[in-house]
Order: sequence, then C-alpha cells, then structure tokens
Amino acid sequence: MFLTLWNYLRGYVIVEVSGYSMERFINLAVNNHIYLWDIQEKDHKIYFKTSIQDFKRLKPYGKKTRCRFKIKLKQGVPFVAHKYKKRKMFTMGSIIFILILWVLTSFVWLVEVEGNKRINSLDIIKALEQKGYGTGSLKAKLHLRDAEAYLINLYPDIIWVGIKFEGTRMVVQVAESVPKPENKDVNVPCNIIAKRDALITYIATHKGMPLVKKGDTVKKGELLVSGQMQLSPDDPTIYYTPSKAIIRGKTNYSAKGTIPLQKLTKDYTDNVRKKYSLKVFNRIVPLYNQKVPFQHFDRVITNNQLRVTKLFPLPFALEVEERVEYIPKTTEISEQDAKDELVAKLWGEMSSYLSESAVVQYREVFFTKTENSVSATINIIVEEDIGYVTLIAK
Amino acid sequence: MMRKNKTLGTLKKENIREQLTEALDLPKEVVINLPVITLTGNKEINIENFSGLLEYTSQKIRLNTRSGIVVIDGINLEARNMTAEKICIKGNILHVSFVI
Repeated sequence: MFLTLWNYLRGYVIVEVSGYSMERFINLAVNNHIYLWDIQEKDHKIYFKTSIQDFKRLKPYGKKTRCRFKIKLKQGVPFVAHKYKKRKMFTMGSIIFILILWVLTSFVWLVEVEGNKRINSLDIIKALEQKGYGTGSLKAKLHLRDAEAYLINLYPDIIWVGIKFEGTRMVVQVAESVPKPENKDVNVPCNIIAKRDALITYIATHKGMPLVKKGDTVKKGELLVSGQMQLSPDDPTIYYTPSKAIIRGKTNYSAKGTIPLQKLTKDYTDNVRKKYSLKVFNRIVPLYNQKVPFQHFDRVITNNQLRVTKLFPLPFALEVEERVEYIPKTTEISEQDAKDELVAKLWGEMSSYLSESAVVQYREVFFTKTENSVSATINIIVEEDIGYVTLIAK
Repeated sequence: MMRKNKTLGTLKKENIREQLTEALDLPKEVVINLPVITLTGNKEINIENFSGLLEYTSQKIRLNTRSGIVVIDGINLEARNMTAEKICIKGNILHVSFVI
C-alpha cells in the first residue's frame, strides 16, 4: 500500500523487453542494483516496472544482451506534473482556487455560543458584534483574549469565557456563575410591610414591634412590624432589630376575560408552494419562486446554513419558505362550552401569579353574554402570607 | 576434463565447509550461501540467496542457486519484486523442484 504510493510519487515506467536472452538482461540489471518489480511474461515478452533513474541505466545491458526494450507506460506524479506544465491556465486556476479557499477560510462565518443557561445566546452574539467580533471579520485581526475580558466585564454572571476558532466557526464557551443565595443576614435591622391590601387573619411576631393586630385592614405598603424599638417602656433609647413575623391575611384577586362564541380553525391541506432563496451575508437572493394559487396560507421558513464540513460553515444559507394552504372554518360552540373554556383559562392565568402559601377560601364567577361572545369575571379571596421584609433606611 | 576436475574440487571444498558449519552449528544460508525458500500456501514463494534467472515465463521460472537449479512450475507466475539476493514470486504454484 505505502510502497505503491511511494512509487507513484517518485514515478515509474513499465518497460517491455523482447529478445532472446531476456533472463540474462534481467540478471544483469538486478546484479547492478537496479530495482525491478511486478515482472510479468506475456507472448515471449517481459514487462516490468522500474523507477525513472534506474531506467536510464538500463541501456548498456540492453546492448550487451541484444535485447530491445521500450517504455510501455509512464506513470506517477513527475509525468503528471510534466503534462500540466503546459496547461498554464489550469495550474493558474488551481492556484487561484486554493487562494480563494484560503481567503474564505480566514474569516469567521458563524458564531456559536455554548454553555450558557440564563444568558441568551443572541445577546452575547450581538454584544460581540458591536465590538467587531461578528461574522465576516478577519480571524487574524481578532484578539480573542480581549473579547473574553470584554464579555466577562459586560456580564457579571459570566465567570469564565473561552473563545476559539474551529475552522470558520467562532465558538464562545461560557461558564455562568451559580446564582448567589439571597442575602438573609439576620443581623441587618429591617421592617415588615404589607405586600397587598389585606385583612389580617393571623399575626405572630418573633422580633420587632407589631403595629397591627388580627382583624385590621391594611393597605399595600403599610408598616406591619417595625424594627425600630424602645429599649424598655421607661427607657426611650431607640435600638434597631431585624423584624421577624408570620403574618397572614385575606386578599382579593380578580380576573376578566371574553371569549367569542364562534371559533376560527385552520384546516391544513396538502397544497404546499415553496420559495427558495439564497442568503448571502445579510442579502437575500431569490432563486426559485412557485406561484401561490390559494388565498389563505401560513409561511414556514427554514434556514439551512451551507457548510463544507462541520468545521467550515460558509457565509451562505439556503432559505426555504413553505406556504401551506389552509381552509378557514368557523365553528359555533355552545354557550356552556364557551363558559367552561373561559373559566379554565382565567383560572390558569390567576393561579400562575398566586404565591405558594395562598389558600383559596372563596370564589365567585359572573358571566355576561353579548351577541356573539361571553365574558366572565372571577373574584377569589385567598389567605396568604402578606409580610414583605424591607431594610430600614437610617 | 579440466572443467570436471574443477567442479569436483569445488564440491570437495563445499563438503569441508558444510561439515565445518555443521560442527559449529552456524546458519548454513549465511556461510555457504544456501537458498532460503519460503512458501506461503501455493500463492507466494520467497527465495533468498539466488544467483540469477535462467528462464522466466508465466508458467515456469528457473533460478540458479548454490544448491542447484530451482524450478517453479505454476500458472500466472509473476515476480513481485526482485533484487540481486531476493525474489518474491506470486501466482498459483504447482511444483517446486531442484535439478542438479
């Protein structure tokens, strides 16, 4: 395998020998350190392969043994190279091809972000682009260490950034810091205020001065437990303490919504018309556009980045726009179904912003019906924790 | 007459050498230049220490060695490579025989 490759690189000739004492000719050649291989006999002629240099040394032995020999075939790189020496345009074209390939691969054509969980990849890419580290920039001009430092300074959540080139891709590897636990320093003096308007149902103070009692109604933001206290009833000296209390109260929530009694549904058919376009940098070049013979359709756009291998994405993308036909259909739904659906929707909305400690105590729903829609109002009363700890500004 | 004497003389010389290598337990292929013939099934034959080709066709190859003429009969015989000391022959080998 390697030997044949090596021989091909060095170039060899297939020699045809004819005469009476061909064996003697070969003996002479071999004894004079000429390397021959693949020696074959056919119709009283011997064919063998030998290197170019060795072939030049064969002449005296042919004369000595009166054997005729000639080149049957030339093979190998030196002969191919010689052949292409005459074709100037071809060699020039291949050199230009290599040059273009080299120039194109010295740019960044794709930026990829890995390892981020909380920070959006697009944000990082845009931030890099503003600093000139976007797609289409010359690889040699980018200082990756500077870009890393820039990203770390920009996002305090990022603790480590590694940027490297993989072919024409620029891969940004990000390590985000673990979110810091909330500061629950017990020694910082603080007040407790009300989260919402509420009716206090339960209050148990561990630390601090309670200012409300069970049965009181409070407004949002009202002070419930104060961290500012007198040392004793007789001593007016004021000291500060971190307030701690469990305060529960009844609060109101309400939600409104309407739902039409007619529903629009889309029945997709199999009719699809496609539009292909090439995206070069940020320009779109339409390639092929099928006419759309139908009125109602949705567009589905897929973007295919062209790449030589996984490592070398090109600055071109094939954009395929599919237009899928649908037949619009309006269906009447019964009033009861509409109501059920609306209540379920509103209830889902509401429960998403109730706190975990909330216990629903009362719930009522009002419906109003117009010509082709139903609206509803849901009122609920829940009991929940209403205390919110704030620091005392001294 | 002269020629016969000479061959007899070399044979005698060889006998002494052979006995000497036998006695000293030396490898014969090194001291007396005897051929080393390696057969791989009937597909390939390697011959080291040969002194020249006598006949070369695709059915029959005759080689001169120290222990006489080696005749290889076969079908589609072909020398893969050839140097002054070693020859590697491929093809379907039917016979390997010595002619003295």
